[in-house]
Amino acid sequence: MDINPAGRIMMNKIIVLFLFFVAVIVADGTLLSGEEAVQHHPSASGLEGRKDAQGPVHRADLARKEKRSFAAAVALGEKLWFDRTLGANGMSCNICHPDAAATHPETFPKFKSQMGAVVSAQQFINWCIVIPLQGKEFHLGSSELTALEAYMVSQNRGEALEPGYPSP
Amino acid sequence: MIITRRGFLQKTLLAGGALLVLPAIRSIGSGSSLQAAGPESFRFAIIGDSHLMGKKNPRLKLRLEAAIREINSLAPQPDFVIHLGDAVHDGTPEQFQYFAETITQLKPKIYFVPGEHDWYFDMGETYRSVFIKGNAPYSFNHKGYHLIILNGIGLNDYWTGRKLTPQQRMEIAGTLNHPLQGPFRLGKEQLAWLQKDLSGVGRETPLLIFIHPPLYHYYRPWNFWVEDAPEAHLLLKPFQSVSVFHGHVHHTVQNEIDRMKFFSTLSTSWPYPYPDTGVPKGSAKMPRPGPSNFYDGLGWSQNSAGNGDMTHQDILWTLTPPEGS
Ligand SMILES: [Fe+2]
Ligand SMILES: [Fe+2]
Repeated sequence: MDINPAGRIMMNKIIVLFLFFVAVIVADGTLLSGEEAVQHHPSASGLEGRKDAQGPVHRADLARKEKRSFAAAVALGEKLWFDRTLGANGMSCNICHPDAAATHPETFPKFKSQMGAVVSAQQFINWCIVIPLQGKEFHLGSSELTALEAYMVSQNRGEALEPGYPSP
Repeated sequence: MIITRRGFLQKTLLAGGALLVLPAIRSIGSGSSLQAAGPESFRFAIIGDSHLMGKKNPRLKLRLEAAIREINSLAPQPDFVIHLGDAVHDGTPEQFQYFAETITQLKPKIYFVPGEHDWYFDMGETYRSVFIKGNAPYSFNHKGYHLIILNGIGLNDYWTGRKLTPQQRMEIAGTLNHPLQGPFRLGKEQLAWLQKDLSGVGRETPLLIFIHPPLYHYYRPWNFWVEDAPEAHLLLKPFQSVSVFHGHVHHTVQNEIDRMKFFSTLSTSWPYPYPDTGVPKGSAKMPRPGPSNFYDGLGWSQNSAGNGDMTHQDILWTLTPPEGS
Protein backbone atom coordinates (compact mmCIF):
# COMPACT_ATOMS: atom_id res chain seq x y z
CA MET A 1 0.00 0.00 0.00
CA ASP A 2 1.49 3.25 -1.11
CA ILE A 3 0.58 6.12 1.17
CA ASN A 4 2.88 8.64 -0.44
CA PRO A 5 0.52 11.24 -1.96
CA ALA A 6 2.98 11.94 -4.74
CA GLY A 7 3.07 8.26 -5.51
CA ARG A 8 -0.71 7.97 -5.60
CA ILE A 9 -1.11 10.95 -7.85
CA MET A 10 1.77 9.71 -9.95
CA MET A 11 0.07 6.34 -10.43
CA ASN A 12 -3.08 8.06 -11.59
CA LYS A 13 -1.08 10.13 -13.99
CA ILE A 14 0.82 7.15 -15.31
CA ILE A 15 -2.49 5.45 -16.04
CA VAL A 16 -3.82 8.56 -17.72
CA LEU A 17 -0.62 8.94 -19.71
CA PHE A 18 -0.72 5.30 -20.72
CA LEU A 19 -4.26 5.63 -22.02
CA PHE A 20 -3.16 8.75 -23.77
CA PHE A 21 -0.26 7.02 -25.53
CA VAL A 22 -2.63 4.35 -26.72
CA ALA A 23 -4.97 7.03 -28.04
CA VAL A 24 -2.13 8.90 -29.72
CA ILE A 25 -0.71 5.77 -31.29
CA VAL A 26 -4.10 4.82 -32.65
CA ALA A 27 -4.72 8.37 -33.82
CA ASP A 28 -1.31 8.45 -35.49
CA GLY A 29 -2.11 5.33 -37.36
CA THR A 30 1.28 4.00 -36.26
CA LEU A 31 -0.33 0.80 -35.06
CA LEU A 32 -1.54 0.26 -38.59
CA SER A 33 1.34 1.58 -40.67
CA GLY A 34 4.13 1.30 -38.11
CA GLU A 35 5.63 4.49 -39.59
CA GLU A 36 4.97 8.09 -40.46
CA ALA A 37 3.40 9.85 -37.50
CA VAL A 38 1.92 13.15 -38.52
CA GLN A 39 0.96 14.16 -35.03
CA HIS A 40 1.56 17.78 -34.15
CA HIS A 41 3.83 18.59 -31.27
CA PRO A 42 3.48 15.95 -28.55
CA SER A 43 0.52 16.48 -26.34
CA ALA A 44 1.40 14.86 -23.02
CA SER A 45 2.31 18.41 -22.10
CA GLY A 46 -1.16 19.68 -22.94
CA LEU A 47 -0.35 21.15 -26.33
CA GLU A 48 -2.74 19.06 -28.37
CA GLY A 49 -4.60 21.00 -30.98
CA ARG A 50 -2.12 23.84 -30.96
CA LYS A 51 -0.53 24.58 -34.32
CA ASP A 52 3.20 24.20 -34.06
CA ALA A 53 5.22 26.89 -35.82
CA GLN A 54 7.79 24.28 -36.74
CA GLY A 55 5.37 22.03 -38.51
CA PRO A 56 4.36 18.47 -37.72
CA VAL A 57 6.61 15.93 -36.03
CA HIS A 58 7.39 13.13 -38.45
CA ARG A 59 9.09 10.78 -36.03
CA ALA A 60 6.64 8.91 -33.81
CA ASP A 61 9.45 7.38 -31.77
CA LEU A 62 10.85 10.81 -30.95
CA ALA A 63 7.42 12.09 -30.03
CA ARG A 64 6.91 9.18 -27.68
CA LYS A 65 10.33 9.66 -26.14
CA GLU A 66 9.61 13.30 -25.47
CA LYS A 67 6.31 12.48 -23.78
CA ARG A 68 7.87 9.76 -21.67
CA SER A 69 10.73 11.97 -20.61
CA PHE A 70 8.49 14.85 -19.65
CA ALA A 71 6.21 12.52 -17.67
CA ALA A 72 9.23 11.14 -15.82
CA ALA A 73 10.45 14.63 -14.96
CA VAL A 74 6.98 15.58 -13.69
CA ALA A 75 6.82 12.41 -11.60
CA LEU A 76 10.18 13.12 -9.96
CA GLY A 77 9.15 16.74 -9.48
CA GLU A 78 5.95 15.68 -7.76
CA LYS A 79 7.86 13.43 -5.38
CA LEU A 80 10.25 16.26 -4.50
CA TRP A 81 7.36 18.73 -4.19
CA PHE A 82 5.91 16.75 -1.25
CA ASP A 83 9.31 15.90 0.26
CA ARG A 84 9.63 17.39 3.73
CA THR A 85 13.35 16.58 3.78
CA LEU A 86 14.14 18.67 0.68
CA GLY A 87 15.07 21.44 3.12
CA ALA A 88 16.12 21.24 6.76
CA ASN A 89 13.13 22.51 8.74
CA GLY A 90 10.28 20.12 7.91
CA MET A 91 8.68 22.35 5.29
CA SER A 92 7.91 21.14 1.76
CA CYS A 93 6.98 23.00 -1.41
CA ASN A 94 3.46 21.54 -1.15
CA ILE A 95 2.86 22.97 2.33
CA CYS A 96 2.74 26.54 0.98
CA HIS A 97 1.88 25.70 -2.66
CA PRO A 98 -0.63 22.82 -2.75
CA ASP A 99 -1.00 21.62 -6.36
CA ALA A 100 1.77 24.14 -7.17
CA ALA A 101 -0.78 26.93 -6.72
CA ALA A 102 0.50 30.51 -6.71
CA THR A 103 3.81 29.56 -8.34
CA HIS A 104 3.08 31.06 -11.79
CA PRO A 105 5.92 29.38 -13.69
CA GLU A 106 4.66 30.97 -16.91
CA THR A 107 5.68 34.40 -15.63
CA PHE A 108 9.40 33.63 -15.33
CA PRO A 109 11.96 35.04 -15.96
CA LYS A 110 10.93 38.06 -13.91
CA PHE A 111 12.27 40.55 -11.43
CA LYS A 112 12.23 39.25 -7.86
CA SER A 113 12.80 41.98 -5.32
CA GLN A 114 14.32 39.66 -2.73
CA MET A 115 16.99 38.66 -5.27
CA GLY A 116 17.32 42.13 -6.79
CA ALA A 117 17.44 40.75 -10.34
CA VAL A 118 15.50 39.17 -13.16
CA VAL A 119 15.70 35.44 -12.40
CA SER A 120 14.60 32.16 -13.93
CA ALA A 121 12.07 29.80 -12.35
CA GLN A 122 14.91 27.50 -11.29
CA GLN A 123 16.77 30.30 -9.58
CA PHE A 124 13.61 31.15 -7.69
CA ILE A 125 12.92 27.53 -6.71
CA ASN A 126 16.41 27.56 -5.22
CA TRP A 127 15.50 30.68 -3.26
CA CYS A 128 12.51 28.84 -1.78
CA ILE A 129 14.67 25.85 -0.88
CA VAL A 130 17.28 28.04 0.81
CA ILE A 131 15.05 30.53 2.69
CA PRO A 132 11.62 29.09 3.61
CA LEU A 133 12.92 25.48 3.63
CA GLN A 134 16.35 26.36 5.07
CA GLY A 135 17.97 23.82 2.74
CA LYS A 136 20.88 23.66 0.31
CA GLU A 137 20.49 24.93 -3.24
CA PHE A 138 20.72 22.65 -6.29
CA HIS A 139 22.80 23.37 -9.38
CA LEU A 140 20.86 25.21 -12.07
CA GLY A 141 19.91 22.63 -14.68
CA SER A 142 20.14 19.77 -12.18
CA SER A 143 17.61 16.99 -12.61
CA GLU A 144 15.99 18.03 -9.30
CA LEU A 145 15.37 21.66 -10.25
CA THR A 146 14.25 20.73 -13.75
CA ALA A 147 11.83 18.16 -12.27
CA LEU A 148 10.39 20.67 -9.78
CA GLU A 149 9.96 23.15 -12.61
CA ALA A 150 8.31 20.48 -14.79
CA TYR A 151 5.83 19.67 -11.99
CA MET A 152 5.02 23.37 -11.56
CA VAL A 153 4.44 23.74 -15.29
CA SER A 154 2.32 20.59 -15.56
CA GLN A 155 0.12 21.64 -12.61
CA ASN A 156 -0.37 25.13 -13.97
CA ARG A 157 -1.39 24.14 -17.50
CA GLY A 158 -4.65 25.84 -18.36
CA GLU A 159 -4.51 28.22 -15.38
CA ALA A 160 -5.11 31.87 -16.17
CA LEU A 161 -1.86 33.72 -16.72
CA GLU A 162 -1.53 36.20 -13.92
CA PRO A 163 1.82 37.97 -13.70
CA GLY A 164 3.23 38.20 -10.21
CA TYR A 165 3.61 41.60 -8.64
CA PRO A 166 5.52 42.71 -5.59
CA SER A 167 3.70 42.66 -2.27
CA PRO A 168 3.41 45.95 -0.38
CA MET B 1 -9.87 51.70 6.45
CA ILE B 2 -11.41 51.28 9.87
CA ILE B 3 -15.12 50.96 10.30
CA THR B 4 -16.09 50.97 13.89
CA ARG B 5 -19.45 50.28 15.35
CA ARG B 6 -20.45 51.88 18.60
CA GLY B 7 -16.83 52.78 19.19
CA PHE B 8 -15.91 49.36 20.48
CA LEU B 9 -12.74 49.37 18.48
CA GLN B 10 -10.55 52.02 19.97
CA LYS B 11 -7.61 53.12 17.93
CA THR B 12 -4.77 51.04 19.24
CA LEU B 13 -1.25 50.46 18.09
CA LEU B 14 -2.64 47.76 15.88
CA ALA B 15 -5.63 49.52 14.46
CA GLY B 16 -3.61 50.70 11.47
CA GLY B 17 -3.17 47.07 10.53
CA ALA B 18 -6.82 46.33 10.20
CA LEU B 19 -7.59 44.90 6.83
CA LEU B 20 -11.24 44.32 7.39
CA VAL B 21 -13.54 45.35 10.15
CA LEU B 22 -16.92 43.98 9.52
CA PRO B 23 -20.09 44.21 11.51
CA ALA B 24 -20.72 40.58 12.22
CA ILE B 25 -24.04 40.69 13.93
CA ARG B 26 -26.70 43.23 13.33
CA SER B 27 -28.14 44.98 16.35
CA ILE B 28 -30.92 43.16 18.01
CA GLY B 29 -34.07 45.24 17.78
CA SER B 30 -35.31 47.12 20.79
CA GLY B 31 -37.76 45.30 22.95
CA SER B 32 -35.99 41.99 22.63
CA SER B 33 -35.42 40.07 25.81
CA LEU B 34 -31.70 40.38 25.16
CA GLN B 35 -31.74 44.08 25.86
CA ALA B 36 -33.48 43.39 29.12
CA ALA B 37 -30.79 40.86 29.94
CA GLY B 38 -28.19 43.43 28.81
CA PRO B 39 -25.15 41.43 27.74
CA GLU B 40 -21.96 43.27 28.58
CA SER B 41 -19.45 44.22 25.96
CA PHE B 42 -16.16 42.36 25.79
CA ARG B 43 -13.24 41.66 23.50
CA PHE B 44 -11.56 38.46 22.56
CA ALA B 45 -8.62 37.65 20.32
CA ILE B 46 -8.25 34.70 17.97
CA ILE B 47 -5.03 33.02 16.88
CA GLY B 48 -4.59 29.75 15.03
CA ASP B 49 -2.69 27.50 12.68
CA SER B 50 0.63 27.99 14.44
CA HIS B 51 1.83 24.57 13.13
CA LEU B 52 4.89 24.45 15.37
CA MET B 53 7.34 21.78 14.17
CA GLY B 54 9.66 21.81 17.16
CA LYS B 55 13.24 22.97 17.43
CA LYS B 56 14.08 22.24 13.80
CA ASN B 57 11.87 25.16 12.74
CA PRO B 58 12.32 28.23 14.95
CA ARG B 59 10.77 30.43 12.24
CA LEU B 60 7.29 29.14 13.10
CA LYS B 61 7.83 29.78 16.80
CA LEU B 62 9.01 33.37 16.16
CA ARG B 63 5.79 34.10 14.29
CA LEU B 64 3.55 32.68 17.02
CA GLU B 65 5.51 34.68 19.59
CA ALA B 66 4.90 37.87 17.62
CA ALA B 67 1.12 37.28 17.90
CA ILE B 68 1.47 36.52 21.61
CA ARG B 69 3.40 39.79 22.16
CA GLU B 70 0.79 41.83 20.30
CA ILE B 71 -2.09 40.28 22.24
CA ASN B 72 -0.26 40.71 25.55
CA SER B 73 0.17 44.42 24.80
CA LEU B 74 -3.53 45.06 24.10
CA ALA B 75 -5.07 47.54 26.49
CA PRO B 76 -7.53 46.67 27.82
CA GLN B 77 -6.71 42.99 27.73
CA PRO B 78 -9.18 40.73 25.90
CA ASP B 79 -11.37 38.57 28.14
CA PHE B 80 -9.92 35.48 26.52
CA VAL B 81 -8.07 34.14 23.49
CA ILE B 82 -9.20 31.31 21.23
CA HIS B 83 -6.64 29.10 19.46
CA LEU B 84 -8.42 27.72 16.40
CA GLY B 85 -6.32 24.56 16.11
CA ASP B 86 -3.31 23.20 14.18
CA ALA B 87 -1.24 24.26 17.17
CA VAL B 88 1.49 21.87 16.01
CA HIS B 89 2.19 20.22 12.66
CA ASP B 90 2.89 16.54 13.32
CA GLY B 91 1.19 15.99 16.68
CA THR B 92 4.29 14.50 18.33
CA PRO B 93 5.03 14.79 22.07
CA GLU B 94 8.14 16.85 21.25
CA GLN B 95 6.12 19.35 19.20
CA PHE B 96 3.37 19.64 21.84
CA GLN B 97 6.03 20.25 24.51
CA TYR B 98 7.60 22.98 22.33
CA PHE B 99 4.17 24.53 21.76
CA ALA B 100 3.27 24.41 25.47
CA GLU B 101 6.50 26.23 26.34
CA THR B 102 5.68 28.93 23.78
CA ILE B 103 1.98 29.48 24.43
CA THR B 104 2.56 29.81 28.16
CA GLN B 105 3.85 33.33 27.43
CA LEU B 106 0.30 34.39 26.57
CA LYS B 107 -1.32 36.36 29.42
CA PRO B 108 -5.11 36.03 28.87
CA LYS B 109 -7.02 32.80 29.39
CA ILE B 110 -6.97 30.60 26.29
CA TYR B 111 -9.45 28.08 24.86
CA PHE B 112 -8.44 25.45 22.31
CA VAL B 113 -10.25 24.18 19.20
CA PRO B 114 -9.10 20.87 17.65
CA GLY B 115 -7.31 20.99 14.28
CA GLU B 116 -6.41 17.97 12.17
CA HIS B 117 -2.70 18.44 12.84
CA ASP B 118 -3.33 18.23 16.60
CA TRP B 119 -5.30 15.05 16.30
CA TYR B 120 -4.20 12.29 13.95
CA PHE B 121 -0.88 11.29 15.53
CA ASP B 122 -2.39 10.14 18.85
CA MET B 123 -6.08 10.61 17.97
CA GLY B 124 -6.30 13.77 20.05
CA GLU B 125 -5.11 12.29 23.32
CA THR B 126 -2.49 14.92 24.14
CA TYR B 127 -4.49 17.82 22.77
CA ARG B 128 -7.55 16.85 24.82
CA SER B 129 -5.72 16.26 28.08
CA VAL B 130 -3.09 19.03 27.98
CA PHE B 131 -4.78 21.83 26.02
CA ILE B 132 -8.56 21.41 25.85
CA LYS B 133 -8.52 19.86 29.35
CA GLY B 134 -11.62 17.91 28.44
CA ASN B 135 -13.19 16.95 25.16
CA ALA B 136 -14.61 18.78 22.15
CA PRO B 137 -17.35 19.78 21.43
CA TYR B 138 -17.96 21.92 24.49
CA SER B 139 -19.82 25.13 25.24
CA PHE B 140 -20.04 27.89 27.83
CA ASN B 141 -21.70 31.26 28.40
CA HIS B 142 -19.86 34.56 28.59
CA LYS B 143 -21.52 37.92 29.32
CA GLY B 144 -24.80 37.03 27.66
CA TYR B 145 -23.24 35.23 24.68
CA HIS B 146 -23.26 31.46 24.13
CA LEU B 147 -19.93 30.07 22.88
CA ILE B 148 -19.58 26.67 21.25
CA ILE B 149 -16.32 24.95 20.37
CA LEU B 150 -16.88 22.25 17.75
CA ASN B 151 -14.68 19.38 16.63
CA GLY B 152 -14.66 20.02 12.89
CA ILE B 153 -11.87 17.63 11.87
CA GLY B 154 -13.52 14.20 11.92
CA LEU B 155 -12.34 11.98 9.03
CA ASN B 156 -13.48 8.58 7.82
CA ASP B 157 -11.10 5.81 8.91
CA TYR B 158 -8.53 5.38 6.11
CA TRP B 159 -5.83 4.00 8.43
CA THR B 160 -7.06 0.81 10.13
CA GLY B 161 -7.59 -1.24 6.97
CA ARG B 162 -4.29 -0.03 5.57
CA LYS B 163 -2.45 -0.70 8.85
CA LEU B 164 -0.89 2.76 8.83
CA THR B 165 1.48 3.95 11.53
CA PRO B 166 0.49 7.04 13.55
CA GLN B 167 3.02 9.05 11.49
CA GLN B 168 1.53 7.86 8.20
CA ARG B 169 -1.99 8.58 9.43
CA MET B 170 -0.92 12.08 10.48
CA GLU B 171 0.92 12.83 7.24
CA ILE B 172 -2.20 12.05 5.20
CA ALA B 173 -4.52 14.05 7.47
CA GLY B 174 -1.95 16.83 7.44
CA THR B 175 -1.53 17.06 3.66
CA LEU B 176 -4.49 19.14 2.59
CA ASN B 177 -4.52 17.89 -1.01
CA HIS B 178 -3.94 14.22 -0.15
CA PRO B 179 -6.30 11.98 -2.18
CA LEU B 180 -6.87 9.54 0.73
CA GLN B 181 -7.95 12.15 3.27
CA GLY B 182 -11.65 12.55 2.43
CA PRO B 183 -13.86 15.41 3.65
CA PHE B 184 -14.17 16.58 7.26
CA ARG B 185 -17.40 15.71 9.07
CA LEU B 186 -19.09 16.74 12.32
CA GLY B 187 -20.84 13.38 12.46
CA LYS B 188 -24.28 12.38 13.72
CA GLU B 189 -23.20 12.18 17.35
CA GLN B 190 -21.88 15.74 17.39
CA LEU B 191 -24.91 17.08 15.53
CA ALA B 192 -27.11 15.46 18.19
CA TRP B 193 -24.95 17.06 20.89
CA LEU B 194 -25.31 20.44 19.17
CA GLN B 195 -29.07 20.11 18.97
CA LYS B 196 -29.24 19.24 22.66
CA ASP B 197 -26.87 22.05 23.63
CA LEU B 198 -28.88 24.62 21.68
CA SER B 199 -32.19 23.43 23.12
CA GLY B 200 -31.30 25.16 26.38
CA VAL B 201 -30.39 28.49 24.73
CA GLY B 202 -32.84 31.34 24.00
CA ARG B 203 -33.07 32.24 20.32
CA GLU B 204 -32.22 35.86 21.09
CA THR B 205 -28.92 34.82 22.70
CA PRO B 206 -26.09 35.61 20.31
CA LEU B 207 -24.04 32.54 19.34
CA LEU B 208 -20.28 32.51 18.81
CA ILE B 209 -19.16 29.26 17.17
CA PHE B 210 -15.51 28.21 16.90
CA ILE B 211 -14.41 25.43 14.57
CA HIS B 212 -11.16 24.64 12.76
CA PRO B 213 -12.24 24.27 9.09
CA PRO B 214 -14.82 26.57 7.51
CA LEU B 215 -18.33 25.40 8.49
CA TYR B 216 -19.51 25.46 4.88
CA HIS B 217 -18.48 24.14 1.48
CA TYR B 218 -15.64 26.36 0.29
CA TYR B 219 -13.07 24.30 -1.68
CA ARG B 220 -13.10 20.51 -1.56
CA PRO B 221 -9.71 19.77 -3.28
CA TRP B 222 -7.93 21.28 -0.24
CA ASN B 223 -10.55 20.21 2.31
CA PHE B 224 -11.70 23.76 3.04
CA TRP B 225 -14.93 21.93 3.71
CA VAL B 226 -17.19 20.28 6.30
CA GLU B 227 -19.36 17.74 4.53
CA ASP B 228 -22.34 17.89 6.89
CA ALA B 229 -22.13 21.65 7.53
CA PRO B 230 -25.62 22.17 6.00
CA GLU B 231 -27.08 20.03 8.82
CA ALA B 232 -25.42 22.27 11.40
CA HIS B 233 -26.79 25.33 9.57
CA LEU B 234 -30.33 24.01 10.05
CA LEU B 235 -29.76 23.89 13.80
CA LEU B 236 -28.12 27.33 14.00
CA LYS B 237 -30.34 29.24 11.59
CA PRO B 238 -33.25 29.87 14.00
CA PHE B 239 -30.99 31.99 16.25
CA GLN B 240 -31.09 35.73 15.80
CA SER B 241 -27.34 36.18 15.51
CA VAL B 242 -24.77 33.54 14.66
CA SER B 243 -21.07 34.20 14.10
CA VAL B 244 -18.83 31.31 13.11
CA PHE B 245 -15.04 31.67 13.43
CA HIS B 246 -12.70 29.26 11.68
CA GLY B 247 -9.04 28.78 10.78
CA HIS B 248 -7.51 26.11 8.50
CA VAL B 249 -7.55 28.19 5.31
CA HIS B 250 -4.60 30.41 6.31
CA HIS B 251 -6.02 33.45 4.52
CA THR B 252 -8.82 35.96 5.02
CA VAL B 253 -12.24 34.90 3.78
CA GLN B 254 -15.78 35.72 4.86
CA ASN B 255 -19.15 34.25 4.03
CA GLU B 256 -22.81 34.75 4.87
CA ILE B 257 -25.40 31.99 4.66
CA ASP B 258 -28.98 32.58 5.83
CA ARG B 259 -27.87 35.57 7.96
CA MET B 260 -25.18 33.44 9.66
CA LYS B 261 -21.73 35.04 9.33
CA PHE B 262 -18.49 33.15 8.81
CA PHE B 263 -15.03 34.62 9.45
CA SER B 264 -11.60 33.11 9.00
CA THR B 265 -8.66 34.12 11.13
CA LEU B 266 -5.18 34.29 9.59
CA SER B 267 -2.51 31.77 10.50
CA THR B 268 0.83 32.54 12.12
CA SER B 269 2.68 29.85 10.12
CA TRP B 270 2.31 30.32 6.35
CA PRO B 271 -0.46 31.65 4.09
CA TYR B 272 -2.40 29.43 1.67
CA PRO B 273 -3.25 30.71 -1.82
CA TYR B 274 -6.89 31.37 -2.69
CA PRO B 275 -8.62 28.51 -4.53
CA ASP B 276 -8.82 28.96 -8.29
CA THR B 277 -12.61 28.74 -7.94
CA GLY B 278 -12.59 32.04 -6.04
CA VAL B 279 -14.01 33.16 -2.70
CA PRO B 280 -17.62 33.41 -1.48
CA LYS B 281 -19.58 36.35 -2.84
CA GLY B 282 -18.81 39.58 -1.02
CA SER B 283 -15.59 38.23 0.50
CA ALA B 284 -12.51 40.41 0.19
CA LYS B 285 -9.14 38.91 -0.77
CA MET B 286 -6.00 39.88 1.06
CA PRO B 287 -3.01 41.06 -1.00
CA ARG B 288 -0.75 38.36 -2.37
CA PRO B 289 1.89 37.61 0.26
CA GLY B 290 5.59 38.08 -0.51
CA PRO B 291 7.57 35.17 0.88
CA SER B 292 10.65 37.29 1.48
CA ASN B 293 8.86 39.26 4.20
CA PHE B 294 8.99 37.10 7.30
CA TYR B 295 5.51 38.02 8.54
CA ASP B 296 3.71 38.53 5.21
CA GLY B 297 0.22 37.09 4.80
CA LEU B 298 0.06 36.12 8.48
CA GLY B 299 -1.65 37.53 11.55
CA TRP B 300 -4.50 37.05 14.00
CA SER B 301 -7.84 38.71 14.76
CA GLN B 302 -9.42 40.99 17.29
CA ASN B 303 -13.12 40.73 18.00
CA SER B 304 -15.47 42.88 20.02
CA ALA B 305 -18.88 41.82 21.25
CA GLY B 306 -21.57 43.71 23.08
CA ASN B 307 -25.30 44.48 23.01
CA GLY B 308 -25.80 41.74 20.46
CA ASP B 309 -23.28 43.39 18.13
CA MET B 310 -19.96 41.97 17.06
CA THR B 311 -17.04 43.27 15.06
CA HIS B 312 -14.29 41.16 13.59
CA GLN B 313 -10.96 42.76 12.75
CA ASP B 314 -8.22 40.96 10.85
CA ILE B 315 -4.74 41.95 11.97
CA LEU B 316 -2.81 41.33 8.75
CA TRP B 317 0.93 41.63 9.15
CA THR B 318 1.39 42.39 5.46
CA LEU B 319 0.07 45.86 6.29
CA THR B 320 1.56 46.26 9.78
CA PRO B 321 4.44 43.91 10.45
CA PRO B 322 5.02 43.19 14.15
CA GLU B 323 7.49 45.39 15.97
CA GLY B 324 11.10 44.36 15.66
CA SER B 325 10.63 42.76 12.24
FE1 LIG C 1 -3.51 24.86 9.36
FE1 LIG D 1 -5.99 22.59 9.34
